[in-house]
This record gives sequence, structure tokens and C-alpha cells, in this order.
Amino acid sequence: MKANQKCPALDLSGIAGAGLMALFGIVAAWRWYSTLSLFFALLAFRDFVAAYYFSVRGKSKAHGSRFASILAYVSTALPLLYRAPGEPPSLPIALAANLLFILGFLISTLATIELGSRMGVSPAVRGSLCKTGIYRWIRHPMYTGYIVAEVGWILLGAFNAPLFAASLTGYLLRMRLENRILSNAR
Amino acid sequence: MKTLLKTFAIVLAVAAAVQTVSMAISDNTVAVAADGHEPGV
Repeated sequence: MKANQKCPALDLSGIAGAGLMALFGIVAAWRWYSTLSLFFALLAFRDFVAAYYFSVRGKSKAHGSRFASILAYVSTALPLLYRAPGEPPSLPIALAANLLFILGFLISTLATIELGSRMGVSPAVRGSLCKTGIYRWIRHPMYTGYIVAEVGWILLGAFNAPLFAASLTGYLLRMRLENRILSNAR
Repeated sequence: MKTLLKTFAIVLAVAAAVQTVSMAISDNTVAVAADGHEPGV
């Protein structure tokens, strides 16, 4: 390499994030194996797609606080904790829950792919604001998708409601933090 | 790569939806999570 050529900056947080997302994906795949829930299969797929984009992403220009990072990772891990009901639910409930899982993760996965190398769990500015694909219609499609999918767990059992409330609070806080950091960076 | 992944995500979602609805119609069942399930048993 010539002396005046710059070596591309290695994004260590991206590599660590990729490892963590892959770990979340493995846990989701294990939960799918042990419960046969479609939710965990789709979550595993989304997490592995996210892990890939983490590994190829660029360095951030501005990023949020440590609190925002911890909140983001905890909030990402929460959906792995949903519990299945002891008794099988009625057919319409089971059907509705599965269709919510599918719709939610379709929205969330398409958003992950659309963000591509701008992907991150903690709020940060990585390139231009994404306004293409599903981002043309929804401002925060990744969280919207997760919320839609997680409503399915409340249908399957009210005992999942506290976890859903915690998860929803996390997404709303993350949306606020992201809006703030993106507007400050403009 | 993006187009391929998006296409795969859409195909996966459509296949899962068709499978879920067809199971509900034909077998009157929908596979949902069952904690404590042992695969292969």
C-alpha cells in the first residue's frame, strides 16, 4: 500500500455489534427449535441479516450516549423472552398471532435491508437519512414491525403483557433518542 | 444483494402466511409456540 493511501477505518463497534446480533440470532434459532414458534424463526432471520450489515457498515459521524446504547441492546434482547401459553389457543387467535408475526417481521426485515450498511442498534448518524423503500411510508419501520409482531404474543397470553409494555417503552424511547440525534446532526 | 435479500424476505413471509392459513383451513390447527416441547418427540 502506498504511503499516501489511507487504510479504511476498521469499525470495531460494528464487528462487536455483528457478533452480538449473531448471538441474538443463535438464541432466537434455539428458541425456535425448542418452541417451534414462527416468531423466533423470523426473529433469527432478521438478526442474522442485521449481523451481516453490522459487519460491513461504516463508521458513525455522531452517536448517542452510553445510556442510549445500553437501552438499545437490552430492548433488542427483550423479544427473546416471550413465553408460550400452557394451553393451546383457539384457532382464530393462533392464526391472528402468526399473521401478526409474519407482517411485523416482514416490515422489520425490509427496513433492516433498506438501511444496509447504515444499520445500527444504538442511535447514530451513519451516512444520509434513509428515505427509500419502506422508509418512504414509515418513519421508524423497524420498531413498528417489532411492535406489530409482539402484539401477537399478547393474543397468545396476557402474561406476556408486562414484557410487551417494557418492550414498547424501549422502542418509544429509542425513537425519541434517534429523532433527537438525527435532527441535531442535520 | 439488497434486491435478492428483499425478495427472499418477501417470499419467506408469503410462504409462511400461505402455510399458516392452509393449515388452519385443512387441519383446523395452527402451529404456535409450545414451551417445553421436545423436538423430535
